[in-house]
Amino acid sequence: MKEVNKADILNEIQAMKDAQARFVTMTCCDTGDAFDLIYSFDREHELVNLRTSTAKDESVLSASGIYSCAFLIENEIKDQFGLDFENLVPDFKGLLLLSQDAPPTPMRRNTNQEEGGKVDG
Amino acid sequence: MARTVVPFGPQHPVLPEPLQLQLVLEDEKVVDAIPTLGYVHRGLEKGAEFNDFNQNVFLVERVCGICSIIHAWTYSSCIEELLNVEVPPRAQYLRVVFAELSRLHSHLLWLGLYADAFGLESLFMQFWRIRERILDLEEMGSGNRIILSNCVVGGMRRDIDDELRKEILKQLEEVRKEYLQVMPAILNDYTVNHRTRGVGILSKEDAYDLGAVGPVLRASGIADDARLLGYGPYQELGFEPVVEKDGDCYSRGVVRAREVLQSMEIIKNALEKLPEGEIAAKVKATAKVDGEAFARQEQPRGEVMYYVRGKNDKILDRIRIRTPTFANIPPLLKMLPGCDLADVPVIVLAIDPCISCTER
Repeated sequence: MKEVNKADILNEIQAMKDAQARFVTMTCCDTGDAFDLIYSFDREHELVNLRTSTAKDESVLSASGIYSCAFLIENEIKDQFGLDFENLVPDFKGLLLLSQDAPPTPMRRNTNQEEGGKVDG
Repeated sequence: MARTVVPFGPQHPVLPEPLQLQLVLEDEKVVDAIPTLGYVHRGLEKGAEFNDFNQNVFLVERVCGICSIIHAWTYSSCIEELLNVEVPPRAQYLRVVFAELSRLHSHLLWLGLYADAFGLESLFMQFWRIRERILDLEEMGSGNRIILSNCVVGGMRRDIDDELRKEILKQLEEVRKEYLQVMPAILNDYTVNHRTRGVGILSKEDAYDLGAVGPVLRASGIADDARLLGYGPYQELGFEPVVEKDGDCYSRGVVRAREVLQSMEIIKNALEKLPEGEIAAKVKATAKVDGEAFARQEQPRGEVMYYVRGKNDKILDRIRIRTPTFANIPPLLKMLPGCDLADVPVIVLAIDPCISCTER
């Protein structure tokens, strides 16, 4: 797992693209006061992971300009964690999986959630 | 030319599960497709945060009934890595047997649906009749037909004795003969060829660039299969990926049709080489899982990836599941623009969409 500064993440993703790596997915983990974002790629059958961290109230640059298929998982993360991605195309605005009346950001911790979605750690 | 938006799904004769595509049309030509998901989103990744690591095996099996054993195996291999559990060779072979049985019944199910999409109803019933025999074999080996609950952390729950081993081999041979009688009926059919050749083309470059997996990727000429990654005894069983070059709906069908025969061969080899010994390593129910692990395996629809993060507890901090249909949606959106509206059902069906997997 390679740790990457948030400001450098697009350069690292572009390097993966230049190395002809296949985009596998992204994973978001709520660590309490921040989000860990893990970008996974397949490079000649080797899984390469890049990890960056972001404060919960900040946004992250979208990878969809480099790997267009990233739009789907970025929209899912936006739905589930409430993390914003800048320049995300297309942007479902938090409604890819969730309906208008669904409890917002169900995977986000320590937020004002109703019974059933209450998790601490 | 004026554009029209036509909703495709969530209920449609070719869709066993709900997915909606908003098709932007110019006359009868599709110019864009926008997916709408969420009809069967169950929050299983969230649910996994409430169970201990053993209970989660049964939860992840419910991500998708068709490939339940492969979900259980992939998840278990993450936990086994984090707990330094060595799975006995016999259990690894048994996992291959049930994983390939699951691939068999998934592909047979799909071939039936594919036949039905062209109005070949009797062929649909023939494929599903053969599939029933595979489900019978799963029931004989595990006690269950769809969600097997046979794979656990550390190995397998039930063994196969010599009598059952011979019975499965005997029945597989019969199934193989029946399948070979039926398979050409769909691959050589004039209508099927006419409606699938050159339709929904995904180039090799686009398939790779858009992160396609499974038969969708291999039908575009890329020999990529997670079974090449080294998990399980696939290399010892002489596994080679099935590849086609044309990248159209017909090629996707051919890849699956050939994989049915390949899975039968893998099962036969695995049962003939089945090592003696234990079927499970002991794992303490009170063990605490710490650290993080990734695992990838090949489901019938393509590569699945699990990420597991422990927090030095029986309860896990995070499980992330990237399923194959999720990866194949961006390639699907690439296949649709330029096609006729009448071809959309076939193109959608040709990726073998599993929406329960996609949404979890």
